[in-house]
Amino acid sequence: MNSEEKAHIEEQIIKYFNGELSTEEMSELERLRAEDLGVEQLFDFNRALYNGIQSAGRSMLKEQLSQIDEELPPIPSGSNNIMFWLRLGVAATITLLATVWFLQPRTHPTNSDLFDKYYKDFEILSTGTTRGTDSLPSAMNKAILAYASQDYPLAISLFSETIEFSSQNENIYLALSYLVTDEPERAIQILEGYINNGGNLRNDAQWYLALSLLKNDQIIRAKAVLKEVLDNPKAGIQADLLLEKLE
Amino acid sequence: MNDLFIVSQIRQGDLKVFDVLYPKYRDEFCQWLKKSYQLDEESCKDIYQQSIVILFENVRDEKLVKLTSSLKTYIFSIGRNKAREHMSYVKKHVLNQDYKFDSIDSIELGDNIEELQLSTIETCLSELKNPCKGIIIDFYYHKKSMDVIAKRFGYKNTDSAKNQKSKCMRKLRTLVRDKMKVA
Repeated sequence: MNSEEKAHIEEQIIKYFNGELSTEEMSELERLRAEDLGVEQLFDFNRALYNGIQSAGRSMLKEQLSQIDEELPPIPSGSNNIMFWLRLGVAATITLLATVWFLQPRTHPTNSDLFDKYYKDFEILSTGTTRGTDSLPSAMNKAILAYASQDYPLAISLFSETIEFSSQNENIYLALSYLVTDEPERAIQILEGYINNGGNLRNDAQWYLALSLLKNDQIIRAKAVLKEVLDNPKAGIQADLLLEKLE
Repeated sequence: MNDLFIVSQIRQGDLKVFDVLYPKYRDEFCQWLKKSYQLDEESCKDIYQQSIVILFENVRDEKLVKLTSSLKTYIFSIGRNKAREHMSYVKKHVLNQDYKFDSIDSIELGDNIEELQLSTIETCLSELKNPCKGIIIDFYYHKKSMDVIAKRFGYKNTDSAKNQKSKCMRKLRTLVRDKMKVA
């Protein structure tokens, strides 16, 4: 290819990475890449170039944030005298309270402790959902990926836009995203809707409903739901152990 | 300044909004990271800055379209993932006493080459003077329109700015090829 053709192809490649190409232009570029090793090499070079520009932009924005930071007062660290005495006072109070606690008969773990012990994310690949992720519509796929990468606020945003029916299995991911972002009421509402509307992962939903109720300090209801989970081969043992602690 | 307004300003490319957003959660974020992950102050600030940059990119790329939680929750959630990445990096590269050059596998070698490429390109970009550097970053990173860029750099019209952008990209390619010894 001559230098003019090369320049044109390189412009097209950069447009490709910047999302500026039409479907036809993309197909044409794909064809050229498949046919010509030289074009493929240009593609790799321009990919690195595009990534480098992104990296430079990121560094510049971070530099701008550092400059803002330099003008701010230091982050309070509690190292001044007032803070020292205040902390000493707090420490003494804590020691006193801890002593009183130690002398008292042992109490049960808190609801929060139990929740942390028993809660595990809903596994993407072992859910038994009816569709594989490959065939999911892209918006749903993005939502599941956000959930899998623990970006729960993004997952909430994407699931809320995508889910159509209250019995759709993906409601469980949405509910759990709310649960881990400290909104158990919303989780309870979604899981109850899913169960009442005949969602086919009822047992999993009930287990998570019990945990949501536990997190929301609704112990009597949590125990009632756990009793329904006891026969579930997947979560029955966990439910039994948790019930024992709550009793 | 509420969350929705901040997001809409970021979407419009108004970087001044960071003057307000950055101080808003910095102290709380850093105190939380220090407490939860036993990180030093510099690492906390670095992770906070990275989190704000990711917020910016998610708004820019329309990954964050509608806020369903508070902006603070969103930033803290990014920060938690970044802190975990940081901790596993430290665990792997600093705390592992047996780590030797012999143990570098092909994936790490690949990562190093990519990092080297990125830093070379960043260096070349910083060698370009304005308007080239500004035009390239504004268009490809901040995704500003050519209309806005033309006004910012004083071009008569969009076409003149587009021509300048093409020239700047050619200049950048030449610089990078020279440094990387690529044909």
